[in-house]
Amino acid sequence: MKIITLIIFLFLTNNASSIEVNFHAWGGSNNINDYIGNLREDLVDYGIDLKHTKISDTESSVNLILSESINKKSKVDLIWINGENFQKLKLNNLLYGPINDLNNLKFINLEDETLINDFGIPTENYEIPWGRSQFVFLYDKELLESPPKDIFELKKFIIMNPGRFTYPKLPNFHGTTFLKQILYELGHYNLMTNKFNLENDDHKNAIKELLNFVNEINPYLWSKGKRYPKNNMEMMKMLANREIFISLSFNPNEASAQIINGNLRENTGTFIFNNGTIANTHYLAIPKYSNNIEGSLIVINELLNPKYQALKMNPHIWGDPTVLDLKKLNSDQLSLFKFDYQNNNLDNNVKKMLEPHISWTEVIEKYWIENFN
Amino acid sequence: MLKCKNINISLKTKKLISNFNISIYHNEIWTLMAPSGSGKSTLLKYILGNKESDFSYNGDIYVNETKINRRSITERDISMIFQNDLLFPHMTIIQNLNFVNKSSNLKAIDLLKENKLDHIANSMPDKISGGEKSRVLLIRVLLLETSVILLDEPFNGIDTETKFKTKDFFNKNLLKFNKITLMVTHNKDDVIDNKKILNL
Amino acid sequence: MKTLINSILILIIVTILCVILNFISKIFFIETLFEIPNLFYQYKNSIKLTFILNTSVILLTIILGFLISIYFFVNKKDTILKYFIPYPHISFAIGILFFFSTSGLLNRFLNFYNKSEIPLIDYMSNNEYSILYIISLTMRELPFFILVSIMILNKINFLFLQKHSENLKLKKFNFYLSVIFPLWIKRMLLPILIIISFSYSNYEYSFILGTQFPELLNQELVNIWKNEFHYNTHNYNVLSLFITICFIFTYLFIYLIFQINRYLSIHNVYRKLNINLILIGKYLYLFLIFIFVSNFIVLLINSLSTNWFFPNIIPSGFTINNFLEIFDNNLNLIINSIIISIFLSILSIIIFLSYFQLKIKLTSNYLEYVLFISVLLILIIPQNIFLINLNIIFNYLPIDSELFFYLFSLIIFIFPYTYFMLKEKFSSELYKSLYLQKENLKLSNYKFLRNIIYPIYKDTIIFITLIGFSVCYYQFLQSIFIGSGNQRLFNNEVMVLFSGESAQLSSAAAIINLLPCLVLFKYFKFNNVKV
Repeated sequence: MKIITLIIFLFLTNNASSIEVNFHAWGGSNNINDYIGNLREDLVDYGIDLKHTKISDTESSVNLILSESINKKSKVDLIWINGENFQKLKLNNLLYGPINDLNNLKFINLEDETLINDFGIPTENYEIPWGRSQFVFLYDKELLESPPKDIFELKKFIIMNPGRFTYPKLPNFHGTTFLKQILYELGHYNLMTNKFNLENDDHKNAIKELLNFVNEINPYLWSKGKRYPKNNMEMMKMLANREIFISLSFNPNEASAQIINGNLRENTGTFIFNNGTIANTHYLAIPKYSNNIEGSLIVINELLNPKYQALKMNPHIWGDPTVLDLKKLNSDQLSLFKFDYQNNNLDNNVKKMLEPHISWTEVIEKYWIENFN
Repeated sequence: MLKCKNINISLKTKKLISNFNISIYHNEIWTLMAPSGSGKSTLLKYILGNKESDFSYNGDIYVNETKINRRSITERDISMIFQNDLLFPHMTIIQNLNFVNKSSNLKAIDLLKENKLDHIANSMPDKISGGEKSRVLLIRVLLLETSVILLDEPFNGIDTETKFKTKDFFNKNLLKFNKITLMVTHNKDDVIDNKKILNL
Repeated sequence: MKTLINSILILIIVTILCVILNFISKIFFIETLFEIPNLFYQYKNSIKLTFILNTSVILLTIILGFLISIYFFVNKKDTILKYFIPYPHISFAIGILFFFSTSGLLNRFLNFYNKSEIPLIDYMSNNEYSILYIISLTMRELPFFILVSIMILNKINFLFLQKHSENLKLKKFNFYLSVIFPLWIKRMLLPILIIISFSYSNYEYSFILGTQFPELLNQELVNIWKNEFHYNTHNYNVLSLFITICFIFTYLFIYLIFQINRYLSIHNVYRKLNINLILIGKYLYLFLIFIFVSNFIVLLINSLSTNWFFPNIIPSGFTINNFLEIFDNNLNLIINSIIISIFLSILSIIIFLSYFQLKIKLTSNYLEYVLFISVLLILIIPQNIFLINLNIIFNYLPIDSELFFYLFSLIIFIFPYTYFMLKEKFSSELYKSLYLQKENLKLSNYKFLRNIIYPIYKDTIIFITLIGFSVCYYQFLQSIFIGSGNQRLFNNEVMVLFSGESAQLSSAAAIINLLPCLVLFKYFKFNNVKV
């Protein structure tokens, strides 16, 4: 009986009296978990107990916020978000903001189009930029001497090497982005800045062309296109074991970071198409009904601290390019941003393409699931 | 003919059966009388081929002049009705009988009819009386068509009135099918053939 | 204290009954099914696949379980098998994947003479993944099934029947198939139901083993639950109805097959056959051990390696950093999971001990019947459906504590094991006379439990705590269906790590996950189990 009382006591005291911030962030990568774990230790000084809720997809957390908003409550205090999930919450007026008075916002160039527009939606400071991404391909240098320069060369590769390429099952965003990239390569870049319209023949033709293209490569994909990996992490493990020769990522420094961690072979390289690839930004947002808005603001401020942005960009830690404007930093801070990339990444000046209008994402997912699932 | 030659059985150091000899011919029903705990059941099981641990055995057994010591129970031309024998609880009486029937000329239902037992053919084993059960057990052994039949206190737990009828039933059928029979009991009332009694 | 515990018990019974009522109310959705025939076509493939895979798993489990347990019964040994009972499902599935997948160890051995740098792409095609699913789920269920099966064989007095059958000149094959099997299967109906219920609620195997499996009904259910949380009750009601119907059909199908066997055996069709079942059982048993041991070894090597790419049979380097990293990030969670599991398994025992004290005083058996039925239904209703209903009930309650709901949903699944194991012991005359002595000697409840009940029933109580601990420690679906995913056990974390980038880290997590129960089950005696 005493033991049980002791256990109950331990149990209750386990939740100490600091401010608890539930941070919903993707938890599939150990690098990222380590990064948030480091942050957690530093935040103890501020009296904040940062809880990393490791989610496998942001959509379920967004749905949780939506369903709990009926009772004006939120178990989510801070969320890693962008694109359609942001749109969903903003349209329902469920985000706290605008967030204007953070100390470290001064390091960010708030006139940069790529930062204040999220999939064509103005952020209006309802979400704060956290990191940048660019769609890249990883490949095995030993098996592939010269990587494809555009989608047509990639198609040639797929047909010449049956079973050695695949993409994640939609609605995974890596899979969706790959299809968007095909549409760009087929010459519909300008078309897609506008909202998708079913009445518009150009729009319909573009989708038709995309479906034809996918139909042509499908029989030559891994498992003959009958199965698809769940996400790009699964593809990366397949690349490491040479089941496939090309993988996808949204982090231009992925190869360096994963080679250091021993998850990829040392001869793994990165390539993009000659015309460039889709680039976007990911953000942090606070649900309106969170109990700990104060605490969440402190966490966001800390994540914009040059120290943490530098750690995020460090290929040994995470490898995502920073959102800070390097011109606004002093020399001490600037010295944090020098890394040894081991020649596996891209140079930073490759061509970036903007995300298409958000409506295209839904259309592509809908048609793909109807035709290929 | 069943012939036992110099059978000795002992439990650890205690001797239970020493130098047991017997010869039984067809159409003979011999009864072995002994008090409880004297090892008579153990002896029958040894003849059947079932050795229990802790006991040590020696001695030869012949059936129709063939030595059968090394044969397994299944290979011996002997079958037995155990004390408190069992009918499979998940089958009816007729299913129990058909299940073991290997004979080409005997049919279980005919035997039941002959002995006026066909009314219980479709009953479950736990629904019949003790006297009926022992008769069914005998029919089951008869269907196996072995030359030798061993009976271990077959009339235990049957009241005196029924026992008389049951004994008659056993006598009639065992003689009719020309069996070699050895029965053990501790009760004088159970003896079928009063001229063929052996005391241990 | 005692009134408190008893009122908790009554609260629990009421909750369970509410869940069941809620579940039954789903039957009214059959009507909507006919209104929207599209829903059926949408899930047609899932229904087919789910039914075929799960029915094969259960048939195989029954057949292999029978063969192995008669081998095991004839050659009594306290073997390695006991360690497989608490082997966590997630770790097992990950181990299976690393052994059998395209770049897995088996293909590397096959590649040994080929010396190719690139794995053959046709090694694992789509159908083989289904076979892998069946084999792995069957193998994982077998140890528990064999344990129960041996307890049943003890009860039906195997040796006695064997002696009689030899006298009746039955061949061994005939004896096992016509005598032992029908008697055995009749008593195995509950364990078989438990296994069907488990295979219909399992999520781990389809998630880990194959990417083509989102079509399984349970995965569709989880997806809908995650994405349409509380919006579209209609869709998951329909899905849980599909699962229930499949579940019932599987059971009927199995039942039909055994009726056919019963018919064949009574009419003695097997008489001419003579196959050495014990020998087959022996080889199957060795195969079972091989699967589990290889599983453990693959996980261990993988977790100790720096990296282990395709065609290497031996990793390029060894390190314990993977373990350190897991401990570094998850030590709190591991300790929490262990504390929760110990706390809940002990609490469950206390609740039922006090219930059995209460029961002696009760004049009517009413409470006993209700409890029995509730506990039985917890075991039989697939866990996913049960949890969804539980969540709906929780939403009506005025309490607003996620932790409480989470712990509640965990302890509910320990109850059946505690109840059934204690029931046999505490319905006995011995317990009644002990209780009489307690009243007579005016002992306090605490003294009675500590100085009398615990020493006498020590073995049973330790055994139940072990089972309760392992049941709780490996719960998985609660974190998905109850609350927002903030509450979780280390078992859930293993799955998150599996979907990450490092095969080495997920193996290390899988190994750490299986250690606590493996250590505890050292004290478990396979042949002494008579509960």
